[in-house]
Amino acid sequence: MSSRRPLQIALIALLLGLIAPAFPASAQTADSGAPPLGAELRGISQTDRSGDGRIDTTIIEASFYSPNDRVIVIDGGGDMAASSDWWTATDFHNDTWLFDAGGTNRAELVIRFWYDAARGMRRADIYHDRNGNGYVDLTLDGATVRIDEWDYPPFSLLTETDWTLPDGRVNWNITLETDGRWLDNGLWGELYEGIGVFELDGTPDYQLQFFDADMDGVPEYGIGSVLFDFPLDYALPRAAAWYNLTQTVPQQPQAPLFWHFLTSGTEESRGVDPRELPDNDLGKVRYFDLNPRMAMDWWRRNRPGFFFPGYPIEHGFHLNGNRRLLPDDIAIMSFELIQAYYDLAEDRDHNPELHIRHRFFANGDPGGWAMPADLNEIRWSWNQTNRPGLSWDYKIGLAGRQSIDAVTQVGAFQYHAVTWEDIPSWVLSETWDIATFISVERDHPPYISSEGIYPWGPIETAVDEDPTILSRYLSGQVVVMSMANIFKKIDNGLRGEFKDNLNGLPYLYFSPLDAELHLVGAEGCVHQIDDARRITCGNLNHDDHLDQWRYLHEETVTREMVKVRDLLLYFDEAGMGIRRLPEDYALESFRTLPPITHEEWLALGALLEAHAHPFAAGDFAAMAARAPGELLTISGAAFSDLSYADGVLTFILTLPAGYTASAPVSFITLDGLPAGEYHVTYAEGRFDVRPATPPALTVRASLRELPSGVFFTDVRLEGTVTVENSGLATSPEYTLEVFAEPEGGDERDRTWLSLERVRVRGGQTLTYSYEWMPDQPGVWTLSAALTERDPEAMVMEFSRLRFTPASTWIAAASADIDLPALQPVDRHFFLTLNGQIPLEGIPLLLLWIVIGISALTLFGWIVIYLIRTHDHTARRDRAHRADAHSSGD
Amino acid sequence: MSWILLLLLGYGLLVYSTMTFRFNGNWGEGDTMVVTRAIVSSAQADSLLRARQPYPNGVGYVAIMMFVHDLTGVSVQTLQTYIMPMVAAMNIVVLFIVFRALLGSDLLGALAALFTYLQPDFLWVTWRGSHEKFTWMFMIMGIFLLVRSFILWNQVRMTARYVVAFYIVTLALVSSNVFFAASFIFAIVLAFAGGNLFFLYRNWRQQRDNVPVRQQLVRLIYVNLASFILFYLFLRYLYPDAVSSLNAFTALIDRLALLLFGAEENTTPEVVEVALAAPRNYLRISWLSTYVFFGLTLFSWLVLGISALMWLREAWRTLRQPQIAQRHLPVVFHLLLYAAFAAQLAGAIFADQVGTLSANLQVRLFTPLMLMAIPLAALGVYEFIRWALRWRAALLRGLALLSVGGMVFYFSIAAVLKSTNEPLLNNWLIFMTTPEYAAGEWSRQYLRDTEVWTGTNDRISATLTFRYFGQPSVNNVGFYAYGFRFDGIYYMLTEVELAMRRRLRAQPPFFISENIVYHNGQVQVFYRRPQSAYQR
Repeated sequence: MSSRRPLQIALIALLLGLIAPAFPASAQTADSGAPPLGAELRGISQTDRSGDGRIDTTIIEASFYSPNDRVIVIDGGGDMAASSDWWTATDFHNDTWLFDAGGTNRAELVIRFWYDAARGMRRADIYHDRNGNGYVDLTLDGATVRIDEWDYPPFSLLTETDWTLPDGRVNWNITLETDGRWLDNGLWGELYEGIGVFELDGTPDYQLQFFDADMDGVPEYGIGSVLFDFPLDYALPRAAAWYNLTQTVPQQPQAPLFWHFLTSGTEESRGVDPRELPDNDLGKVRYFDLNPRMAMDWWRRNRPGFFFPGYPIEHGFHLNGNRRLLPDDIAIMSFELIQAYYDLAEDRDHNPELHIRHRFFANGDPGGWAMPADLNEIRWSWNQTNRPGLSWDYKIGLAGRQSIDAVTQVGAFQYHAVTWEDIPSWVLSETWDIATFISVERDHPPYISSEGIYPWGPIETAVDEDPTILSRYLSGQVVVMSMANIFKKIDNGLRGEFKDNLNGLPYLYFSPLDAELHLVGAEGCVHQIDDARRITCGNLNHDDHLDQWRYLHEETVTREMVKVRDLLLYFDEAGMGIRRLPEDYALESFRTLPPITHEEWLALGALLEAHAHPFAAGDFAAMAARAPGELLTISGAAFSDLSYADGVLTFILTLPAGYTASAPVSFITLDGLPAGEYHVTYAEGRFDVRPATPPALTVRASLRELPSGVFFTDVRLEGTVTVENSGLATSPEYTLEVFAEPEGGDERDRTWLSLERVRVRGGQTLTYSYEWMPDQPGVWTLSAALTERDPEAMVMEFSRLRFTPASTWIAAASADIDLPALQPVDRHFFLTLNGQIPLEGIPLLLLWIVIGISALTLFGWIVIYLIRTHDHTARRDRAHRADAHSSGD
Repeated sequence: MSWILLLLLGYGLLVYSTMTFRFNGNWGEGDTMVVTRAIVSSAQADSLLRARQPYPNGVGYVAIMMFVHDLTGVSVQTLQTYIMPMVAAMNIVVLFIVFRALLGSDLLGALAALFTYLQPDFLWVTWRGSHEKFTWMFMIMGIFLLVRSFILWNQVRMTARYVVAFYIVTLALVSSNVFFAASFIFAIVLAFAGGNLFFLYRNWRQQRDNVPVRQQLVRLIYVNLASFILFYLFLRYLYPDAVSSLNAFTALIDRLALLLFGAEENTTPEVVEVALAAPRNYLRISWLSTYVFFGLTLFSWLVLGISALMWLREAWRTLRQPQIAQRHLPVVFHLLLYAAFAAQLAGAIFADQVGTLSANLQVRLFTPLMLMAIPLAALGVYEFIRWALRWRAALLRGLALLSVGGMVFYFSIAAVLKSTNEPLLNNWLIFMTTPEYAAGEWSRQYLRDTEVWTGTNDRISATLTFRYFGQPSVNNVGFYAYGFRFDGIYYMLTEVELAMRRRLRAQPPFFISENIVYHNGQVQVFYRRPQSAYQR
């Protein structure tokens, strides 16, 4: 290959030198019919390269990268016209275009136009630098161009008719095919690089088709297809489709590089010229605004890309599936069945106000980790305030196990999915299992995204970096102990709420307390105000409404608000308030589903506006102040260890020295209580306030024998340990150490049953049960002790699991049980293994002895021979020395 | 000598077949599983490079196994379980040849070869289904070829043959395991550096230079360079996957440790590693008692002690020797390599302390050190016997000989007990019983889309997984071990597991009150009761 380069350079130089004087440089005439051009023309010349007396080469001096660029067009059909107008002289039917950026006498890009009779299509094969030398290796032989660097074209664009319609507009009936290594084309190329299956073999690996059936210059849809086969568990898309539902009329290319489908540009610009952009903003371009194009990055030479600019669409949809779309087939696809966009505001401002993403993985689909259930995830985001751009205010995430029977049609292709028209009402008519709700809080900058609000997908959220957990949970393979442990972090400025076992629709309610929308039945929430501050919520009585808010600063609770029964309590840095709410006070101003139609969107907007109140995040005092009912405020006071069970509210009230209370209220009286801690209960409308006596912990232990359930032991024991706090103040956190040991045993005989951190509220009793199998008969003792030891440090090394002196116990107890004889697990079992493996018992012992005797015998023989040989050698040496001595040497 | 060789071979076959038939092939462990998976995966892909689950550290053993599998049609599992251990038994012949060259004596070579088969760690790593049965042989053959080329340095054609053979063997070593090969290359670097220091001191002490010997030492640096080029070529062009396994370690200290001390992928879960990292824990978990462990490994400690003494003596002699002849070069090289491997082991122990690779390096490097130590120990034992034979008191003489003989008798049995993790003495069992296999079969047949927990260690899960490699899993059932996973639904509880737990004084699994869905007398399979609305 390298030997051809000088030849190639010389040929191009010769060509340029020979033809330069053929025609004087002239600018393109204004009335040539040529499209707008993304290059500055400097001149044109022509020559007869093959020597047959006909013009076959046109040199276009132009500037598209540098002042010295050239385009050499070589006729391939004997029809090149003699003209100083490039549009007249050249064509896109049988010419080969060599693009020399920078006047290097080398071609950085080659496009060969020809007619593929086998497929009955016009075709443009596009070649770029492959070997990294910055240009395409080729050989010019007369008027014939031979591409040396490529065995097959890496890009081909095909059309059945022509590149343009009769009226000169771009023909959208085109097909792009790529072969071999994927390049930057914005069509998932980088995803597939990892598979390593691209082969430049003349068989296309990826195909992108656009369809304009009525040839009116307005495409109906486009289909992208990965053509090579790869395992489904690679979880990569095979098909994409874009549907021009609203029949967006594309604008014509404003800066093509001669050909309508070629521009200059980088990956970042996606080949879009600033003249084509609304407000000079690439982010405002939507699907079908601009035609697909090959963009050549002259600045990096060997990096062309094929782009379908714009994302997403204001009113329409696209999809990404893991099965190919084929005519005469109804594909059962998984992955993004639809990314649907709706212009709820009906303002045609290029920005959708509702986005619904339906992610689906069919039962057993390897791409979705082969879950044994159909799994659906909905991301429903909407822009309620119609802020400009791709901005979103709220999102509802849903997970469910529905099967998808509906069929969506995209042109000539069909696949199982709920249609764009139906999916909003379908979502709001199904029964969902898990729901999340995200609100972009008022004081946060707009959330901008082309695919809605991402966080807290009810299936896609990774748990401990494992993205499969929620899929497995929903399909019954795993148990997730607490959703609060999964949905515990969120981006700054967002408030997220979650609800498992929704078993219905994702209703929202507006709370008059904080003047915000909430998810009905939410179990908890997180509002991340900034890096240091956040609010977490709880649902103490597990009803439809959130009723507990905690404001944390640097992970310390500095404010809290609780609404239980008819009470509203809060504390903050200034003090505490207790408000008794009217009996008819509702935590819900209105209830709604997310909007589907323009009218519903307007109505919800009006409701939100009517009920809006600009509370600062975590300003519980202001919220309580706005609520109705009697209010008692106590300066400097706070509550802690609040619990609500069986209709009884309990908390510890801390009254600081010098506290002051507001005017007396009817429902509680402090009666000049001195500063200190008080144990407060509230039940049946009455408060009970008592001094919080210090924690008094008692541990109790008991033992009992359980029926046998296993193989060769006939004894199972159950130990029960209770920890009771008879004081009224909450205890500090201790480690409950529980172990069992036989009489006379030492540390090695001990069976550890628990190392658990416990904290006991005043009057609370905690109960723990343990099961284990003792390994010997006799008296067994179960010991339980509360200590201050760190259990994590203890389990890191078994040897540290030692008995602690009684002096370090906070509280302790033990219980004994006397066990009968056990079936032994002795050496005999491990020697014979109860006949479960073939070589055992006496034969095994004999075999070991045979090995020992063999080794000993072998060793003996070797050593004896060694000694004999050594002695023989020594004798021989001595004899030699004696001989030498006697011979007088 | 041929009869000695035959006897050695016979002994090797006896030991390895005893180990194999102790559990009738029903045994499994992590490394064997990983390598077997790579072989089956490569065979299915018909390619070493495109295997879905390759062995990331080398392809030599996988290639050999694929070849034998293709050639004979014998299943990979049968090869790994029954055939290859017998092939490993024949390594004793290689050991004999190498030790003979190092010690300059047929009989001492035979004695050292016999001693190698008394060393439990060597038996274990060459018996199980890992690449090590070839890797260590490649390494020791490389040492032999180097030694021969030293001896024959003035016979150019002969030397050239050995040199060519050396690089072929080195390439085989690299392809077998790049990290073990790297540690070998590093050991030669250390030997070169140590040799130069030694001779500098010796020259200074004796005020004269032993030029021919130093010239031979200089050759080591060329050997190093050439070996490193082979290493690089293999990593860069022949098997780039090996680089990715190096890249998996982000800490520089770990990467260095990998290359210099030759660790490889660790197949033991991290949580177990943490527990086993403390020697006290390892002994407590694995062995009935510390005494049992030291009793079974006494041979190794004796070998280390005797070889260290012999090394000191030989080094002192070499230092004092007025002239070192060419034929003494093997001794010098042997001493240098012994010191180099000992230094590597010390470095590995240090790396284990500061790195994140956990307790792996020191275990891996014990074998090469032992391979260098055993010939010295054999020499020491022989010289002790000769010395004892000169004692005047016949009783003492008899007692001494009886003791040595008794120890050989005991060590040969202890080696087998230790290397098979004999369940009489060890809690880290590696075998699977027939009822456990039946439960595994049932699980595969009747369960669906799930994984079954099989016990505290991977003896059942590894053995079952090993058995089913290459067989299509219609119901998508797998097996796992160690800690419970919170996604676990099915649990296998066996009589052996409970016995092991009772001996360890460990609690029984907590799922004891779950639904029993299978029971065959010795094994039960439990199904966890539904705990969420989404479970059935």
